[in-house]
Amino acid sequence: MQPLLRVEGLRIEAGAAGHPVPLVEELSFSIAPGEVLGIVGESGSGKSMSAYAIAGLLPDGVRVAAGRLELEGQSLEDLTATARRKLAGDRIGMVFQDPLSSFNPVRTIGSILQESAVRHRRLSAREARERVVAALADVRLPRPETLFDAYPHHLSGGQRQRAMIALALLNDPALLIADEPTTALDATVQLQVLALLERGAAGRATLLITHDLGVAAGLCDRILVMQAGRCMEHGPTGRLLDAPSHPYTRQLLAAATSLDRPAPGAAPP
Amino acid sequence: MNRRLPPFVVWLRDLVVLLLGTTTVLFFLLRLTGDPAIVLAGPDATEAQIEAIRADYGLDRSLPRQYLAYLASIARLDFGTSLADRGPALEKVLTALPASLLLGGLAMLLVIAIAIPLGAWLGARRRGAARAVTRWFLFVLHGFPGFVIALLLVHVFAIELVWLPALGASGVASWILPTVSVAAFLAPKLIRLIEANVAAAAGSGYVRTARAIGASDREVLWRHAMPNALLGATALIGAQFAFLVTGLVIIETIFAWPGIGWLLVQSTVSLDFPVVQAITAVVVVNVYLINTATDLLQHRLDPRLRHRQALAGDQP
Amino acid sequence: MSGGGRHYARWELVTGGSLLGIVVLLALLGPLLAGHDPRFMDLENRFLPPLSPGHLLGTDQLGRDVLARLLGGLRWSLAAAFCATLIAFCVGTALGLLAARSRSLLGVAIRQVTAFAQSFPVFVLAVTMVAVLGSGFVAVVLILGLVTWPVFCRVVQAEAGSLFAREYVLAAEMLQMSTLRLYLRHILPGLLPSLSVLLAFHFADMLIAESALSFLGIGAPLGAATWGSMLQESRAYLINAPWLLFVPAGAVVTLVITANLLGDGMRRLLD
Repeated sequence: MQPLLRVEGLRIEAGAAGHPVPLVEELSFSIAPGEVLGIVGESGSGKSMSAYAIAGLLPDGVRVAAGRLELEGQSLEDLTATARRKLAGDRIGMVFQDPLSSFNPVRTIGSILQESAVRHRRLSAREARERVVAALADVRLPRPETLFDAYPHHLSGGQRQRAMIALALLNDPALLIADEPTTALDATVQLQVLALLERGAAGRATLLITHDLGVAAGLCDRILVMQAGRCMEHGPTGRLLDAPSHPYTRQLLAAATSLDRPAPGAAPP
Repeated sequence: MNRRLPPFVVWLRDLVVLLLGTTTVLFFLLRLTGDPAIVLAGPDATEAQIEAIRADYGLDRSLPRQYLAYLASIARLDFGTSLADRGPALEKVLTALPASLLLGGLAMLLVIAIAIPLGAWLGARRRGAARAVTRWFLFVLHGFPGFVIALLLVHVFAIELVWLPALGASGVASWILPTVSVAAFLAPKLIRLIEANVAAAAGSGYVRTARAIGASDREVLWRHAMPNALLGATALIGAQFAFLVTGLVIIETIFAWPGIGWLLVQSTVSLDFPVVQAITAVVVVNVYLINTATDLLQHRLDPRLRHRQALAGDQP
Repeated sequence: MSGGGRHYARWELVTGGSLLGIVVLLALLGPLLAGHDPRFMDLENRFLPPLSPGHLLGTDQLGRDVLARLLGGLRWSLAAAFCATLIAFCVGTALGLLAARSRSLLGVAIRQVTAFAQSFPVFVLAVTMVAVLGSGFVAVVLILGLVTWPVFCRVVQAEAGSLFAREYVLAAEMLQMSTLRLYLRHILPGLLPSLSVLLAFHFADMLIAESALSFLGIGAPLGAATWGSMLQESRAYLINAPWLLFVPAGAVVTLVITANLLGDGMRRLLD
């Protein structure tokens, strides 16, 4: 099957043109539709930057220096800025780590989702609102009609993250990227959010960024281990966990917080 | 038991205390000069007039009784009669107030109209010569006291170029220089604040989310960043408007604009104390009301201040 | 703090500091540099433009040397702004420390007054007081200082309040460190950063307030060489002698910008 996302030889640099600092080097992987790939590493390993590069959200001063990014057969680097922007929220859905700071404090949750629906699906405000309410219900948020008009500070962390997932999946993206989606949440809430992500991953290519091998193990079909901007090991989850070939992978395994890795599909809805 | 007073009562109480404090300060200020009758009677008063004033204001009575009588007259809104035209001092002040409010209002509108786009542009654009030059210009402008700006503008536009009138408040043309002077003096601070807020917003998580759903630079700026930036600027705008009354004293004097600032200077120079007293009281109430309005506006606009309880329950 | 910010702060402080140094030097050397008595009226040589022989900045409507008056005004403004700031600082800081600490009626009173002072039209009060109490250097300085102390009080209250709650202060108290030592070694150094910034900006405000007062003809004795009165007098002669406006205006602006540079630089450094 044709991979939905293909990354080849990705190199990300930061800093002045004369003295570039490499953040990611020689990163290559691909994700097929229906597959979940987890990129695991500690902070500074470049895993988040890789995700941002794909989504087109690299911060100021950080750029893709080399390599190829292909989504649905189309090279992302060849696109104009406008065309690239059209993909965000439409073909690519992103879930961020900290749901509190990821939502605008002076705008209602619903208005953000509505903006995405109107922009990418050309719906009227009312049609968009219906769609948003349905999406909020889909992620099991209580009283979605009322929640539409709620502000971020009215919701708990877990509820905000659910809303974030609803936002990411709103326009049925081909690629779902989740950057440390449960790190800022309580342990009890983490499982529920992961279950949601798993449901959302069905039928899409999903990229999960995490520092926790246990989280990756529960959700991912394949795992890629990164250290200092490079890929250390890459393979199917089962094989990687049972027989890691790289010493760094073994270190991560030892440090994994959730030793009781729930099998995919076993978490409560 | 801890019983909380309703907010309106607290507000009223604070206003009363403020007025009380102000008038008390004025009361003792007058008596610090030695013989208040001389001051109140004015510089050209005869002995007989001074004695009449002394009797009128009860200045021969004991201090506590004077104070009570003073408070009683303030409560009646009687601030005494103006020495200049023998009319009630308060009325004179209230007649002059609208002119100051007009100038202040126009200036504030102009400041906001300039500050929002300029602050947004400076905050969104982090590089460029145009930006650097503009910031430098604003910094220098910030060093100009309001009246210096006014004098320079008068010199350039009224004297050298004779485009605009230098004095008075008749006709829209005469509004331009005073309004621009005040606006030029207030704008740098507000622009800088909006710029800082926009820059802070640019690095925030919610702007990243906005980009992740495909918002263009313009949409990010105006639909996501600016609401936050402007909310943060409301306090400053309110404070500037409240203190415009003070800043207008000089501007009104320069342009002979018939507001309370001009009246204050005239009355001060001619030692028309009842009017000075009335002006101080009116200004204090004015500032208090504007501050209250600003607080209410902030509460209205900021969703974090508006609702206290969570809408949804506490379940994850 | 980012390297860029630090670099910028240093530039501001250096420029501001140098300007201040030059200004203070000019103020101290004033009488020597001017060569003329600021009050001497040479009615034969009125309205001489700048760069005339013997009068670097020209003469005014009464033949007085503008440079001499400028330097006289500089000394007046510097001294007035400095003293007023000093009074406001001392009174405000003392009362602020009291208010931060004390649970007595005095503390409550100070806190209330400081809160109310925010709503207060300070300049209006200053104008009133000077008019009633009389003019002169001492009166102006005292009034400006005593009307603006709440600015310092508010900041000191807030910062001292948080400092007193810090662990090292609590530890010092448990060790029964003498109050004086406590204040000198822990509290005042902790307040220094924000107070320095405030001092610079307050100095600028006092400069503007003083020149505004003397512009209005309130505060400075008649005929004294102050920038405010020079600006006021220049208004009648704008067509013939615009330098009478530009010279004092430029001086006020330069001094205020100097103070702003120092304040900005310090604030950037301490962020």
